[in-house]
Amino acid sequence: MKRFKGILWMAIGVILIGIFYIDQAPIVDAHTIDLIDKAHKINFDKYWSGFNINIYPVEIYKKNILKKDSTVRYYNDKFYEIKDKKPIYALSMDIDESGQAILLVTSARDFRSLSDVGNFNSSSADIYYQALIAHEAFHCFQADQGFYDVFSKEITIYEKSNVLTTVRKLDENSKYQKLWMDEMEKLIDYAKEDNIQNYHAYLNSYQNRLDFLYNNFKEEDVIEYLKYSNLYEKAEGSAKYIENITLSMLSGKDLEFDIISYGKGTSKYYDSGFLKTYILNKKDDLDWKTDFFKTDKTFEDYLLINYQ
Amino acid sequence: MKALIKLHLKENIGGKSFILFGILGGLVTLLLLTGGEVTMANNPTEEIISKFGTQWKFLSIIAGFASVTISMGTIERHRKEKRTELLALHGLSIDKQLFAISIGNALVSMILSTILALVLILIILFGKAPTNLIGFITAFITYLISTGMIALIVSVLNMFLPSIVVAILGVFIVIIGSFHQIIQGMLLNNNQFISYIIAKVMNILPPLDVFNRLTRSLFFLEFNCSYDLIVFLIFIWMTLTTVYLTSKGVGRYEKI
Repeated sequence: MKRFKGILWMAIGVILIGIFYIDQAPIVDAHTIDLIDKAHKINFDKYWSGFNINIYPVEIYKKNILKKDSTVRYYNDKFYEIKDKKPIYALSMDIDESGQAILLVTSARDFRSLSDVGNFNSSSADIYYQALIAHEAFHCFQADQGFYDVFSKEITIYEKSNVLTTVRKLDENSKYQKLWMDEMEKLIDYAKEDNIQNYHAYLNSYQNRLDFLYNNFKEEDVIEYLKYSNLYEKAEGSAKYIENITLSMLSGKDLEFDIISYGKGTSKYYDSGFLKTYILNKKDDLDWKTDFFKTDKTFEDYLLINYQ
Repeated sequence: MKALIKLHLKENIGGKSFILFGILGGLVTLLLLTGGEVTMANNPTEEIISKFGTQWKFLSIIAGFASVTISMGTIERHRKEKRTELLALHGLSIDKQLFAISIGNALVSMILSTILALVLILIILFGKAPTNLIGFITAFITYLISTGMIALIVSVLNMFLPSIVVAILGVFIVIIGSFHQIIQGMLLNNNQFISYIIAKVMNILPPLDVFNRLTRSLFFLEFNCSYDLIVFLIFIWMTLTTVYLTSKGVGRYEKI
């Protein structure tokens, strides 16, 4: 009897491990593919004409149990495992050897594992996954416009320059934080209601922040800092706009403009860039998107011109 | 063996720690349910899901710590007591005693976890929660078993190591386990060979966050969590097997 119990217990273990092994998708699990396909079908014509997610190959990080993790490329409804490429565990974008912008993703389950601290259920995690695919695909779109090269070059220069010290000093300065948050509040008002009062309120707030910068830092440091922040706002803010639009479309909720606190480092540029993209996109008569990523124009080049 | 488990329960249930954890659980529940959810603009999650989800996450972490506190020294204490020999003389071998104490620890931890979640249970019973009876009961069972599993692991460690070391390792297991997938993701993202190896080795640590995700999925009536369920069952099986084999091994060593 005791031996029988032992054998039964071992059999349960073997069955469970067997089910786990069989349950592993041979290539990529169906749920991940389903979500990528759904993201491919989102239409952004109304928000950014020319931007199309489904033209970019997707490379999925595949976790393997008995062998090394690998990369699976998904393109034109076909899959193939790339054996000689080191997989990257992130939702990101890259340029492959042929110069093609590609989308890097984890599986939907891994994505949820990475971002879930109790604040997701499976449906909201699925929406967020698609929104981040849209975000990263927009970086691919920026790359197609030539912006990737500009961004990479500039960032390499900034890494060796004084700008990171300036950023650190500003991040620690409570007065600058207040000025930044005030500007964000004015931008939120302007985003919610496009009128001349809100436009002027934003202009004043922006001017106050500029005055602080020029009064407290060397002119060349300020110019460098503004260029740096403009670059991040342009890259990440516009992608954040696409992400938020996707979240709103898929969840059926209205867009929200809340900024809870001052974000240190580059995180604040996601929100400021999002607000600026939203404001400019509402101005139907303004053609700003055609060459935005092809030139060194900034959001302010369009926002600061006379109110229209 | 049953008598020893009952005795262990009698000796360990009640006391200051139970009252303390009851109050702590209640406070955390009330604090989180009155606006403590993780917020971000354009969050696609419904507010009520976010609130209860965060609640389960925090409760499971606190229950994990409580489980470590309750179980960390019990095996060591038992082996120092005279009754160990007495029980052995009366036919209850040492390996069975150790197994019984470990199971007892798991049961005490489960009772403590219930006390921790008492305020949440009341809110679910009398308030609006996005679940039904089946969802709640299955979620609650997985929550209790997860805590019980921590108690079993701590008991196994205590068969070899002194209480203080077990306490540190126990806390480590709860923290790493509660953010297992995030930490593993960071290591895989690091792109270095050593990080990759550590990430793979982490697979043997109990992924408490996956168990917690299973709890939340069941609570929110999302029964599409077969992967999490299989992982959960495998870990239950592995933990019980380890406790049984370790008790046997240590019991045999003590005889010599």
